[in-house]
Amino acid sequence: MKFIIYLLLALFTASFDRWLGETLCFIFPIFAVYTIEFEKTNLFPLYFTFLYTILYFSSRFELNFISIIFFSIFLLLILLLQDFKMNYFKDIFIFSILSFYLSLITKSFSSSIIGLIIMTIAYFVNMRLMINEREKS
Amino acid sequence: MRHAGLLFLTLLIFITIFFNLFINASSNIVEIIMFPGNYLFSRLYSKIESRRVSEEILNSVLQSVQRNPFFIVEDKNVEDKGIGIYYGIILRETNRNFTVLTRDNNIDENYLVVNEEGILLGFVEKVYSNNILVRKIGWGNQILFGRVENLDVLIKENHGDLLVEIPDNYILSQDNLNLLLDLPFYISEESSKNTFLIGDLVSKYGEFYLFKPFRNQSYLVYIFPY
Repeated sequence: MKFIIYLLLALFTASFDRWLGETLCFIFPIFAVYTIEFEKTNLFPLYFTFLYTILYFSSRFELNFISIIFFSIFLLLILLLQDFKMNYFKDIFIFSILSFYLSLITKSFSSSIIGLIIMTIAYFVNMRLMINEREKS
Repeated sequence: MRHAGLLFLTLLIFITIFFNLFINASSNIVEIIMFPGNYLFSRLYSKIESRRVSEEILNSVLQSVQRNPFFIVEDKNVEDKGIGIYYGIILRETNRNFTVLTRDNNIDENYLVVNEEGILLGFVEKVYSNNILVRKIGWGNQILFGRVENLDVLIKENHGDLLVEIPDNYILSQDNLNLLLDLPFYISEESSKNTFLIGDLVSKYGEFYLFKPFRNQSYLVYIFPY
């Protein structure tokens, strides 16, 4: 069941980023941070990014070496930061690298700044409270 | 969980190789899967992007329509047959395709998209109600026949470039090629030219000449069946 949910989420984020990513903001790095923090194993974040890379890059550009670099950057980030606890700086670090890479290949830097503001608000309003409540109960 | 990551990475590399070998099949599958999301977000996208269409652009488009009526249907009996030519405004251009906002709903896939000066820009790839996605010429998988002056040549699309087969004994006069393509018989232009492609000759590639297509600058495009 979870596999289907992540497939639908990948479809949604890929088509959003394809059309509105450059004009508004990239939505994928926000969802990637959420999945990394919510899931206990690394399987589902990797599965989600794997589907997203195939769908987004094959529709917007072509599937080529740029997409493989994108996925391997995500893999390195997960392997390096998997022992750290949830922290504002960790989330911003993951978010800013992914969104800066996406805005670098589409040459639209305003979208990554807008995404940074949205991520900061989402962290302090929503994500911190949800994860802390889950740990208590 | 290091093993899962490496497994996904190798899978991605294999899928990349597979997609690059069979271009048509893979892009069709992805387009079919992503259709509902694309339909929804392209509506939003055209709503946002059409705010950039200012009064100056609209005025220049209307002036160019009035100045040279581009296509004329030739017939001996003068009567109104109600044949309209679809037209649209380019909203935004990316490296592989651009989106066009139109008024008409009868456009199908693989229609020709032509500049106001008669230069072929690409083919219609997908129709999302009143905004359409145009694949630029060079990014498909098609083979066309064209003419250089009086010579028939074969044109192949190859990852953004065009490969033109020119016989050995023919000497090219300049670096700028004008390739003529024949339009459907019922459409003719005022200045009796057909659609053409303009671009720069880059290098020789086996028996073919590599050829970079022309970069578009105008906003108005015409669309018609092929």
